Amino acid sequence: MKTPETPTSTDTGPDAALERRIITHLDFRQETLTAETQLKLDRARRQALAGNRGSNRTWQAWPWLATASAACLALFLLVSLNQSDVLNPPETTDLDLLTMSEFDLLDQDPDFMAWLAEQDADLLDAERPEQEGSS
Amino acid sequence: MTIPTLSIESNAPEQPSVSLDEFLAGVQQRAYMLARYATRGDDEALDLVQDAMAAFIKHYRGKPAEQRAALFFRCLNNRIIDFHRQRKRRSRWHWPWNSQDDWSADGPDALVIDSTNRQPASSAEQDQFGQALELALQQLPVRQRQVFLLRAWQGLSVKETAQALNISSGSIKTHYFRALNTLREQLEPHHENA
Repeated sequence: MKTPETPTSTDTGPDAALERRIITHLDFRQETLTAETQLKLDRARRQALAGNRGSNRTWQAWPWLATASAACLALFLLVSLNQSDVLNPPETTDLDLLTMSEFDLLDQDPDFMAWLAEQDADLLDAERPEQEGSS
Repeated sequence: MTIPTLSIESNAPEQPSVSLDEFLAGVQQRAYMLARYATRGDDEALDLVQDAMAAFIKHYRGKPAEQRAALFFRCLNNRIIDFHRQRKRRSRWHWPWNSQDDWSADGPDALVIDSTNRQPASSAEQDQFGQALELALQQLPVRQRQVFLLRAWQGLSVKETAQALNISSGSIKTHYFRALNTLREQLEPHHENA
């Protein structure tokens, strides 16, 4: 639809050649639009001529739908976590016991710790002859 | 909303009487491509084109044929601007689905074309040029892209383009000059290899 009476840049020169190549590519793109796109454009034109404003506006609703879904999911997770804390209190593990200040035996009962160390040493002595004999 | 009456002096020769349907059928593909470059979405582009057609029919159906192109693309441009305004508004409220402020800086989102109709003589250099052009066009600022496509591709005069975009003729020339410079810089490696 480019008319010869409406030149853009100079008719000669590198810019003109670039413009022509760009226009050629755009024309090619236009000619190779898919049949589906062509049909949709024809339908849109007919609807516009008929005075109908119907169109596929679902793309405008996607952000709202996504926000609502995320909010529902967050609420569900929050409720689920709260319920699990009430019904299933966390179990105390051995690690928890060891890290609790009440079990800091080294400070509170050094005699017990010393006795325990002696027990470990006795066990090592008992095992040593068997190990030398098995070599 | 009242749309002011435009008085356009067109450089195009007087055209024979063409029905509204024929006129819209002739511009719908290019209008879709312009909208597609602006929105990067097929459905969005189709909606903008249909809305522009409806507005054009409602307000300008009685205008002379030589004024139709500028008036129609003005309707389309107004809807493209509204689209960007809504998008900016959503990003201002930090919509996670519109986190990018400068959406034009993304990579190419190529128009869907029918590969079965591709010309068999299409060379690799032409494909590379085409891909580079698509990216360059999408990265242009909105106004520069509109001016370039309406002037270089649609063939509107400076005055017609100014009327379509509701800006001055001097701005049209400035935008076109800048767009061409940008395109030349980005396409030079591919254009020289041709």
